[in-house]
Amino acid sequence: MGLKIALAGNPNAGKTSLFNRMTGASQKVGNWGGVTVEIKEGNAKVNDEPVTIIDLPGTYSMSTCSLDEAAARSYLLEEKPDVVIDVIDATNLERHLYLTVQLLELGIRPVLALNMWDEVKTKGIEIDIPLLGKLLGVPIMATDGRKGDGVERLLATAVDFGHQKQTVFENKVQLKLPKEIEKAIDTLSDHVGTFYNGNNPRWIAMQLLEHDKAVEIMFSQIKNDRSVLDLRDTIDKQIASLFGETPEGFIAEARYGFIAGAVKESVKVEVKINRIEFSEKIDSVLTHRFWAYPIFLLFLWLLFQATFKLGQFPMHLIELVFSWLNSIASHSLPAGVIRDLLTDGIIAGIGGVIVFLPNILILFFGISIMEDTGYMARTAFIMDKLMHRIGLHGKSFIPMIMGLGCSVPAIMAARTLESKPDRIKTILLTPLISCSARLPVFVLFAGTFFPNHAGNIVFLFQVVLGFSAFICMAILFKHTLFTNSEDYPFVMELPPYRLPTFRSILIHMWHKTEHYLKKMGGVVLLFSVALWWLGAYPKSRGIEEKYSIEIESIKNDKTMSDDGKKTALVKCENEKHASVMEHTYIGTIGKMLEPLVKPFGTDWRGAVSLATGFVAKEIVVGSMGVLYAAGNDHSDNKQGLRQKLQKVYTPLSAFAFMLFVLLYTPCMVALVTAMRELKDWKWSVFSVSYQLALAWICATAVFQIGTLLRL
Amino acid sequence: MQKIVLSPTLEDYLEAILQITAKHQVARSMEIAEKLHVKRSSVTVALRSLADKGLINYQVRSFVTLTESGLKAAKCVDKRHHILHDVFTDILNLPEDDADAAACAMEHGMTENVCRKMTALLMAFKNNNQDTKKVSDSLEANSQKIDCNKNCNYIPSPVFTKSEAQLFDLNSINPGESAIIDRIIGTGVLKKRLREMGITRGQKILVVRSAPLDDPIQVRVRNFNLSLRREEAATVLVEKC
Repeated sequence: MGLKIALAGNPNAGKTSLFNRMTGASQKVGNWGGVTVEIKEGNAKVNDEPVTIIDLPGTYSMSTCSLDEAAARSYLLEEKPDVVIDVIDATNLERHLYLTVQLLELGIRPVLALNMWDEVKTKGIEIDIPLLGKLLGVPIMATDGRKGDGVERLLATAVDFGHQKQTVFENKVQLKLPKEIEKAIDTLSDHVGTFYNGNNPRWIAMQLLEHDKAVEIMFSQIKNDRSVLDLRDTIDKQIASLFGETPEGFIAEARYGFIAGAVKESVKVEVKINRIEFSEKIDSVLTHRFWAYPIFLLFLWLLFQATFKLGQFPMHLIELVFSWLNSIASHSLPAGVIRDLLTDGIIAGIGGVIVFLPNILILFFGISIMEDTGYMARTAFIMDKLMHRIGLHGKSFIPMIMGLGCSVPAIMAARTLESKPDRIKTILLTPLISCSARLPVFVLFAGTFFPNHAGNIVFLFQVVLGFSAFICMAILFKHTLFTNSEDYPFVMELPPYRLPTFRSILIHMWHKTEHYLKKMGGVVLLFSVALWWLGAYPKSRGIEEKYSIEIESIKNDKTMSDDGKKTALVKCENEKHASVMEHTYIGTIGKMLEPLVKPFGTDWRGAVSLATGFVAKEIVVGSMGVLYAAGNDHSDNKQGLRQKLQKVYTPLSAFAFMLFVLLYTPCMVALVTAMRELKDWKWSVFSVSYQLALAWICATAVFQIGTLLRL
Repeated sequence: MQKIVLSPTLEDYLEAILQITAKHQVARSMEIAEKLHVKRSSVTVALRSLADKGLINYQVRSFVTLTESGLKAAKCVDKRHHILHDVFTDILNLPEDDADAAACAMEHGMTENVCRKMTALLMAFKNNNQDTKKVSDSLEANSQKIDCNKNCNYIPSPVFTKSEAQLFDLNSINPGESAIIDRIIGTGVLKKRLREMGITRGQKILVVRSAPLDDPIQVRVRNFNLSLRREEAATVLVEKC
């Protein structure tokens, strides 16, 4: 094993581009310790010496508000990497050195990478690197992650530093705290020392005074003793009544004070920075009172069109390739279980996963550009007021709109949300927005039962009802499930606009896609084989034989005209398919489900169609064609099916059925994506069950109330 | 029962509300602002804080009334004020203005002990009219010989902590204007996050703009752009510069 080098730093410090520079394409995303935050790993070689580089999640502080944020710190403390490189935006030293000071307090001596060195030069800032290094007591290297300058030297320094294995170092950070606060820290750390045998009780005491979540939990649960926390609360009150400010404030102030001193000494000349900076100019347009929304809508429209319209061509291609593979398999293999498994189960399953690739690639290409340029933060800035009203974050807007195209990439887009409750809410709600796969169902039913208002009804379901459901459920969640997560602060950095590099966007995009393929492939395949099996077995020999005898008799019937024979044959063939499907497991399940779908006016055939819709929503229409013995009519108007449907459904029950289709669990790919992104069984189960319950309640309510009113 | 903590400023507000409601049943923030000689936006901050402590009934842009516990608290302050006031006028023979101003400032610092002894002192004097006159006259005569503030190079202000009343919340700073951060009145996660983002005492903060729908706002602190929701900005108290 080579040295382990961890990259830490604020978000937007250019950590990821440095990481990409160091490791090239050799990266893997690994989940660590069950935390939901990803920690990326990659390999690099320094003078023929292999090293492992770990990209920790970006964090503003080592002291944390939530457990998710603690991931970086826990990694540093528990995995103990050999070297920590603290990546710093050199144009914003004061802000970024805060984390450095905290690292030093933790007893970690990092190697500093003063990143964005090119911008420092163009801005006319002069930083005395040796002096700053001496003041902080750490080695410092200037780098430019975008062009790659200085990265090799940085790595070489880090490796040297790692070999020195200094365990003891002099902490140069001197926090100037009032003596009352110093006394408070001492009192608390003495008390902590009796419970905790780690080597840094002072640090623990400071974390307690700073109300660090992870440390608080450690004391309230693991140590199972309130006395430390009680003492902390008493100290807080004492200091607050003395100074009108809690110790927390003094500690943060002292850190910034120390940094300000170091920066003042080492940053020599700060030449006239152009007052209205470049970013400010762009912001005055992009967040303009009137232009902000039209511009955002334009970008959104472009993103949507590119993702779904441009994505259509490669999607068709993928579908073609898979149907070609399918036909090869079915021609070259003897009929039987193996062939069916391969064609209808495995190939169809893999095709079902890969077909979304173009969407995901294009969407993440767009999202990467928006994130890397800094525009993403601005969209949250301009949308937050509206989204916050329904308990969501400004960044939830993009997943919501993407949901109109397909829930799968939309759910993945929720990754841009930093706070866990916001991310969970967005993932839970996004499937309610009607994806394009639900459109064929709406078109069929609206055209059949509301021929005069078909367009309006389709719009109602595709747009109005989907968004209404989204908003209503968002408000409901806000007031029920997420009442205490309300106070997660919005406080968000608006990073300066930067030109993204093509390379970093490609790497970013590739990682999302790779992740999707790896994580999804297995599960979706399993699901798809299971659904195929449910739909194909048991084979009912008797029925097939019965119908083949009938078919034979029709063929041999001398009394019928040729045309008559043809219709009779088609009818018989359709009935055969319907009967075969009725006797499969899925048909049996559908029949068992009949009491459940009865309340909203659907029969067992509807139930089976809904069950098959789990594979993909557009399959609902196909299944109905088979089950209502209308033949697998590929023509657009589906005249046969329409007539059959009219016998079974009334406009009211059709409306209820459409409502159910709109609201119930999306297809399995979306479901698996949601499961993967939620990373929590409880939430995944909740996601499925609440959607089913919501669909059932709404459809039933509409049908029952409608029936009462004799609609 | 756990007791709430009240800053001198908030005690002043309670007192003012008590006096106004004694006359008009309800108080308006305008009246309070006039009475305490402060800006209306600072009144909003203080009232919110009082409402949080359950001492007043208050909704933005509405009347203010004292709750039961608010009335109790306000009467405590009022009582201390009157004791001091009476000590100053009756025993020390000070003119009304001086007595009132000094009582206003000192009422906040009276511990239970001080209060009890002061009251006892007052009662002792009142019960013995002759002695009262004599002692107070001699006090008057002796005090003329004492220098108190002569060697002092500043004039003591009656306000001994920076009053919340002189501060504004960040929302009252117009886009394009700067202010100096004084403190964060919020709690928990938000306060912590704001601190870490560099919003600390004495730091200059520039309000860059508000979002098209007026919420959130963009601020710049330590050469770093942040967006804050209005409700979050309301917890940051600043001094105009």
